[in-house]
Amino acid sequence: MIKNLSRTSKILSTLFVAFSPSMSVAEDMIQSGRVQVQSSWARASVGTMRPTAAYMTLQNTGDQPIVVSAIESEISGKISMHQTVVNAEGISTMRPLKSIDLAPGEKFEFAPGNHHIMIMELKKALVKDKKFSLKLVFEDKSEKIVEVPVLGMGARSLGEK
Amino acid sequence: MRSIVKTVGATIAILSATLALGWWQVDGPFEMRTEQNFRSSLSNMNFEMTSHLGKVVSPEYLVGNPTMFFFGFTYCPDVCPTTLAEISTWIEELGDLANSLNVVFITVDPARDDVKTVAEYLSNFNSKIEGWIGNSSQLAAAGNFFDVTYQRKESEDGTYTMDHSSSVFLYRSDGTFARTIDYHEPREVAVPKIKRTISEK
Ligand SMILES: [Cu+2]
Repeated sequence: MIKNLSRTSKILSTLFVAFSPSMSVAEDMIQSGRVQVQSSWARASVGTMRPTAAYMTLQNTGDQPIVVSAIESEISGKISMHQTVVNAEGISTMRPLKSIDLAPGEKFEFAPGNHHIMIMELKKALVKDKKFSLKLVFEDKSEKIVEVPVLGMGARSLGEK
Repeated sequence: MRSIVKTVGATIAILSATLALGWWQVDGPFEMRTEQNFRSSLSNMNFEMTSHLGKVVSPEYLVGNPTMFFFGFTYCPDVCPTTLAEISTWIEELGDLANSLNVVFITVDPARDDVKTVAEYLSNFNSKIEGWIGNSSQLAAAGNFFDVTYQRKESEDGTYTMDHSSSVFLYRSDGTFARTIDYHEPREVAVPKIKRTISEK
């Protein structure tokens, strides 16, 4: 029943996003409908053995807090949210992020050298100029599919190269 | 149980006092060494490695031209390709000035990075960047001379990543250490540092 309800609201919210620019009550109920995703891209991988990373900017456009609890994709058996941290001695390390909390209006940036979506155990290589989709999973179990273009290994942002 | 906690607490207190004292003596306010003299000159770095082109290389052979060194590994998903892409843009911005510059990437993961792997990886970045691959003792020697740290970090799924120094090290053409570029320094800071290093004969 709950499953059905959330599916219905998802379908509803999709319809609202598609046909109505104004915020609807139904849409505002679920977290996925209140997140805007911009500038998504991923770095081409070297084969499937090595991990790679994806980046994007999320924004909470609603008036309630939002929590991103996981990221999933069919292209990989393991995706985690990470942060690259450089300590006082200049040593870089990666730290897992359990979830991302977005206050109303807040933006969160996954960007090279900082927060990143780490993609491990690739089922097939990410090839430059191709696309794949990622799924953001929210705390309320709603989901948002994000199309991610693959840029070259030397890319630094969606705008450059 | 409580007494164990107490003992541990006391030990930690003593340890931190000792550490604080150690810091005072080694790196504290009376520490005299400066960035300019604590790193070895390239002419003293008598270790050899193999380049991604299969040549035997050594820092000694680079003396005569300014040199930029940095460390990383090809299984690195975020910071290494970002650094390599960044350095590629610095080289482009330097234009002709970069002609004499050696740019060397040393892998800290020789267990997975062989000559072929590094060559393939570097083909994605500026062609001036040379990859150096050493065995573990050659890498340890390099780590010592450059005063860099690298450490294998296991993940729960049986793979591992490498924590490593993310700085870029600049050497003058006479082989002496000039300065570092830290990880978060923007291009507007990094490129003048390289220019200065090139001009300091
Ligand atoms: Cu990561």
